[in-house]
Amino acid sequence: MKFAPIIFGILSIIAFSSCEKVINVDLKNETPHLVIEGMVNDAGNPAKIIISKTAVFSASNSYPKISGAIVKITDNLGNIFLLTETSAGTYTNTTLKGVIGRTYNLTVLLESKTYTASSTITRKAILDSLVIDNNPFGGNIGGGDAAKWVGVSYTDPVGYGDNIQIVQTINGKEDRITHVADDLYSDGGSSPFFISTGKIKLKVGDIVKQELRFIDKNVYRYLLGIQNLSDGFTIPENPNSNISGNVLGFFSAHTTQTKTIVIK
Amino acid sequence: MRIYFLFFFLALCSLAFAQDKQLFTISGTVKDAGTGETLIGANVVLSDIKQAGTLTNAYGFFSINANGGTYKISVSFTGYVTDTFTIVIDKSQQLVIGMQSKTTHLATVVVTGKKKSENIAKAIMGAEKLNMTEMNKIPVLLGEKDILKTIQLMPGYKSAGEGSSGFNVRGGGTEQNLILLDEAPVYNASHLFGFFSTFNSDAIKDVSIYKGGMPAQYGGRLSSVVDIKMKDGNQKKLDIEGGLGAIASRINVSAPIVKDKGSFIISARRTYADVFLGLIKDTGQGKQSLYFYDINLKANYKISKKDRIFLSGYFGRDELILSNQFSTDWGNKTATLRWNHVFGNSLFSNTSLIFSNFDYKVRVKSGNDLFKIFSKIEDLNFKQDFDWNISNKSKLRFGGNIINHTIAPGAVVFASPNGGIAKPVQNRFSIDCAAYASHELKVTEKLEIIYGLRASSLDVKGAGKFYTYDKAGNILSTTSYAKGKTVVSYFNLEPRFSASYKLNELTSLKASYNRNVQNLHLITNATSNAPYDVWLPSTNNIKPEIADQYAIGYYKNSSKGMYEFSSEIYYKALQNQIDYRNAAVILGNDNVESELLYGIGRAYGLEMMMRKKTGRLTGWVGYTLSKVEKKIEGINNGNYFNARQDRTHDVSVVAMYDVNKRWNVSATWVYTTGNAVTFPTGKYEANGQTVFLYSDRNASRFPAYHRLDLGATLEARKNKTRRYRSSWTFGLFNAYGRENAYTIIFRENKDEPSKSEAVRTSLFRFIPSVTWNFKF
Repeated sequence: MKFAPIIFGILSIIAFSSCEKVINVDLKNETPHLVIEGMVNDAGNPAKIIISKTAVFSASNSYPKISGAIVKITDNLGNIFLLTETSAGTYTNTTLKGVIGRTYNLTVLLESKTYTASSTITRKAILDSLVIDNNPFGGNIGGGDAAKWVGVSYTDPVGYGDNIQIVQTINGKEDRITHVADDLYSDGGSSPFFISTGKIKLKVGDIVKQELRFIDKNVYRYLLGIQNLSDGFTIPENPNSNISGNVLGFFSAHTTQTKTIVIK
Repeated sequence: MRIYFLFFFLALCSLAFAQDKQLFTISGTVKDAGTGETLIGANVVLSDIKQAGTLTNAYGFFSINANGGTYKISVSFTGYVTDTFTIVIDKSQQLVIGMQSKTTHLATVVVTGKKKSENIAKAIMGAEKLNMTEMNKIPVLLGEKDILKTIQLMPGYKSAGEGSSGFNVRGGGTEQNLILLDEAPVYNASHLFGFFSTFNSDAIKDVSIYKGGMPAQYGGRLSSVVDIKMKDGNQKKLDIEGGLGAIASRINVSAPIVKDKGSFIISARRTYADVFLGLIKDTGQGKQSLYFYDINLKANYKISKKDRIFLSGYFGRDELILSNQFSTDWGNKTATLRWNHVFGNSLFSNTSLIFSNFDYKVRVKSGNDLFKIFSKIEDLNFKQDFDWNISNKSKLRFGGNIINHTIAPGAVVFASPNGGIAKPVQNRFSIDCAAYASHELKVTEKLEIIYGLRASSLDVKGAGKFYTYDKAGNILSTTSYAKGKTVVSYFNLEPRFSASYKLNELTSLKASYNRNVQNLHLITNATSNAPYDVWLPSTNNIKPEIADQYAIGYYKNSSKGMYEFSSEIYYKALQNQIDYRNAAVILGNDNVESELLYGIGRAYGLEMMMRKKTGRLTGWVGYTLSKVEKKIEGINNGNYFNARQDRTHDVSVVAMYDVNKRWNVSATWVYTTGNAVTFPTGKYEANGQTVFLYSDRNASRFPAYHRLDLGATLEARKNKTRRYRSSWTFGLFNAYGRENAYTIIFRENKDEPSKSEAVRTSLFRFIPSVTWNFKF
């Protein structure tokens, strides 16, 4: 759904005569939950699993890392890859390279509990080029210079049900925003998916890197859940994890391609 | 159910035989003497006969039975001088009664004698008739008089959010309100994301609202009925009214077609919100604009003494253009053709042909790609109603209707030089049939009952593919149906019952039970007021929503009729309620039903209202204590959770004061517990960003909402030589500048990204308004 952000962009306009204020809200604090995030890709970047815990709202964004887990990824051909803890809470394997058509199964053994997940690389979308255009919601309502945004042109394979994720890096810094799309409106096409820049306004000379990932349906629904949370227009709830054992996080096996463009 | 039918049939028979053959029938119409506008709900009493009193119906028609003789007839209506005259009855006859409007202020009117306490005696409960004169005095946002905002000041009716014209009735969803404009349902009753309602109050004659004990002639929604009737137009002379306001201007023209036989009215309104919002600068990307307009039209003609026809229509549209890359527009269209006929003297018939449509379009240009979304819901409705005055103690209403619904639930058209095809979304077709009978009976001097039954059915028709899904929402099977072929049928019986028992002339107890069924479902997981909603009929997956409501009430009037007190307790059980899976895709999804979850709900509460009806100071104080919860499999671990609109306490105070003949001041104050919302209970990192953790649904609260609005009306000095009159209306919205929460979002702190913060957005504070009104 390449234009969901656009539809929701208009909703933000209704706050026209609004007044924003940081307030104190009395929040309940839950006991820490386990968070597992993992990815396998076809580019030879190391397979990586990060295990951490949740923090309370008022804490700073440094989350307790969890060491001492036994992490293993197998594929449907019976290959077994063990991941080793390279830094606190981060487990990697440099030999595991994702292959299209294979299903990857994650097993995490921690404090005598087992957590499992599986993710399949079904096929891939081809990253063609990056384009620059004016952002109709780039904060220019009522006048001012039009803000720019970058569109990722990729060729969607024919047949509905393909999902992609874009990871945007601006001047070497990830934008920390989730961007996902389905092909419900543009199956088989190669139209650009314009990527919101959040609070950042792109300037001439900015270097923008876009990574295109072809993800599976469960991962898409998880990331769409995160994307909706930041829109703030639906009732917030935790996205459905594809990892068993009542934990937060997700495990994604995907293809990856990147391109870079300089803003002119 | 068979027993119920039998009871119903027997009751009817006994009534038919109970009629006295020597009776004559006095029937007729009650009108405003100045304009010829028929008056709805005027009280007509033959003062010498016990129980010989009746109210005029929606077309100003009444009928009373009496033996031959000489009688006094007394006709009364709020805002009019009570008309009493003597009549000799020696045959059945028809009357046209003209009533004089009280042009002088209320303060100068002396209340004479004891008023007939209709609110005490009538069996109907949970019903309210809005006083249009009173409504015009109530201050509102930007001075745009708004019936839906006024309704929200009544106990049991709650605003769906700051500035919203959407409302929740006794815990129900905003889509559970049946809003009728001259019998045509209005599917989206709001302009500009809900800040204004679609109803231009200049064109409106009468508004009746029901939150419980709905009479059987209404059906199709669970929570409430808002029955709005447009003015018929001046039958005597040309009438031009209008106003220039802070955000909109309006004009209203009405005149006779043939004097005393027919008239028309045209009422139009246009906002200049675009100017107000400063959205007019050209950024080099095309023009920007935001506005709405609406037009009401009505014409009526009396063909003969017993026949009258009406044609009415409404057309309204909102347009928002942000740049040449984005534009959207939406609106309602309705049309009603009606024929009134009186059979004999006591059987009133109305036949209606009704058209109703709501649609929206979205156009997004993204690079060289063009997305277009088009969605509509369209009804064609044939309706027949009979109103039979069997005797002075017994009235029967019966009738039925058949509606053809066509729904295009938001298909996307995609055009791009780069190819790509949008997945088609099928149109849905259904036929809604209903038959009803409702009997109003004065059993004794003290006991009045209304009992009725509505039988409703929905037939979902092809052409189309219909799906079944497993528990996770994956497609299990697909079946194709040919055009006109029935996919699934639902049949429901909806009993309606209410009774009043007079403890004395000033006090009564009432009780009611009613079942309502809703076969049209609004599918939206957004918490905002965007018009991008999807309506779907019941299907093989979506079952009809059902509400059973039980209520009891206590009513008391003060001896001079100056004060009215009412209190009602209700309990409502809801079945087949709809909710959504996590990250549900609603728009442009042919498998939108795979995103739905189902469950039950319950709502209960206590409502109290004290009203001061006469004197220089009038108004009311309302209080509601209530609870509404839902229980949906797959949400909140299958436990009951607060619905978003669950607000424990709700207070409204409305006061209007006539300072002198020219000045009138008013104030409203509202207080409600904040919405039930879900706040984070922690945070974590996923996908490279901070994500908040949530636990129980809607277990937290927004801060309490309260607001004071002030208003004043100044009548210009009367120009004795000319017909021209004018007035000024002043308003101040949110007079003490309370920063009520419109949204509260949680995000990273801008300066210190490693910290999180809660940010409250509040909308209108200290918003003044001035409106100049004129009348020729």
